[in-house]
Amino acid sequence: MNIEKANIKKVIQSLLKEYCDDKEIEIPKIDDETRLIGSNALFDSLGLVGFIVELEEKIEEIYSVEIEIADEKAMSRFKSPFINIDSLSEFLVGKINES
Amino acid sequence: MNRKNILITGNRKGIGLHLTKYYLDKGHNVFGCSRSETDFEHSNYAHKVCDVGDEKMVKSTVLEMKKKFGTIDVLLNNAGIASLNHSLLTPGSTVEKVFKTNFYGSFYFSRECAKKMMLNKKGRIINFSTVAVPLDLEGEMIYASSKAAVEKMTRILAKELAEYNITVNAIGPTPVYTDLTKVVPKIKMEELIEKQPIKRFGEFNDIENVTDFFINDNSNFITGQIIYLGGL
Repeated sequence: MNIEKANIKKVIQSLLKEYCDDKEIEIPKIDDETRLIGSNALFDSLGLVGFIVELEEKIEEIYSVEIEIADEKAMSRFKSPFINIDSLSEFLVGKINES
Repeated sequence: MNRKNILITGNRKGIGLHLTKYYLDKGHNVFGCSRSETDFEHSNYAHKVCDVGDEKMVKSTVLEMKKKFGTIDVLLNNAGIASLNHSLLTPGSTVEKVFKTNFYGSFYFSRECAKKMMLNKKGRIINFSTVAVPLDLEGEMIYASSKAAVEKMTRILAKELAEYNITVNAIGPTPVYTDLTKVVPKIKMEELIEKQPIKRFGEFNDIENVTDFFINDNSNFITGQIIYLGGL
């Protein structure tokens, strides 16, 4: 599979907006630097779990690939892929294209 | 009637088959799985061959159930195997086999179903433990330990999934006459029954009564509970 990073980014951004609207999480703007975890982030750890599960489902629906986003590889990285939208997109492109 | 989509693991025979027929009779949809094919048929029933200890097979089973019925409302983690032997005579391969089915199987199905239930913002997970856990029965160290792990999983999952309106509970049946218990010597079964405050074998309807309670819409404030039969 050969997925472009820009496409994945769009998927993440659109799902993030949907997810935050649903959970009534206030979000000023969504861009590459939008923090997902850490200080001033959108989610606490439980919120991130819920978002990741929905993202896995969305990717499966769109690309018909089954991936585990929070696998050992993701969790053991020196720089977490969950820091912001850009790093998550980069990580997901690799995962999907490998599958 | 509020028709539910119920997934029952290990339902080719015994308690699983009984619960399958029981919930189909009540008008629900049931998706079952077992290690081998079944000849059971019903218009509201679908089956998939699945080894519950195989993570990939579990994922595809849950996916197939979702495709078939749209949602997963209830998971009954019934699949289980027993091993009766003195600990000193128990090979490591037996320990692995029992934990694979009893603990890993319940975990894989709980995790995959909970992901689908989260999107639906509701769900019920019912695990199967055993009275061998509180009774600390000699000769059942591996079986009871695997079910003790299931109990711990039940309590922690209940906390982790509460915010998604998913309840997680477990039933701890006493011996019921099934394929799982028929290999146990009669004297051993009688000794076990003697340890129960209510001294009789369990019946299928004792189990239905508890699963009905956990599934009931009014039980949405009940989670992380282990209900033993027979007064334990």
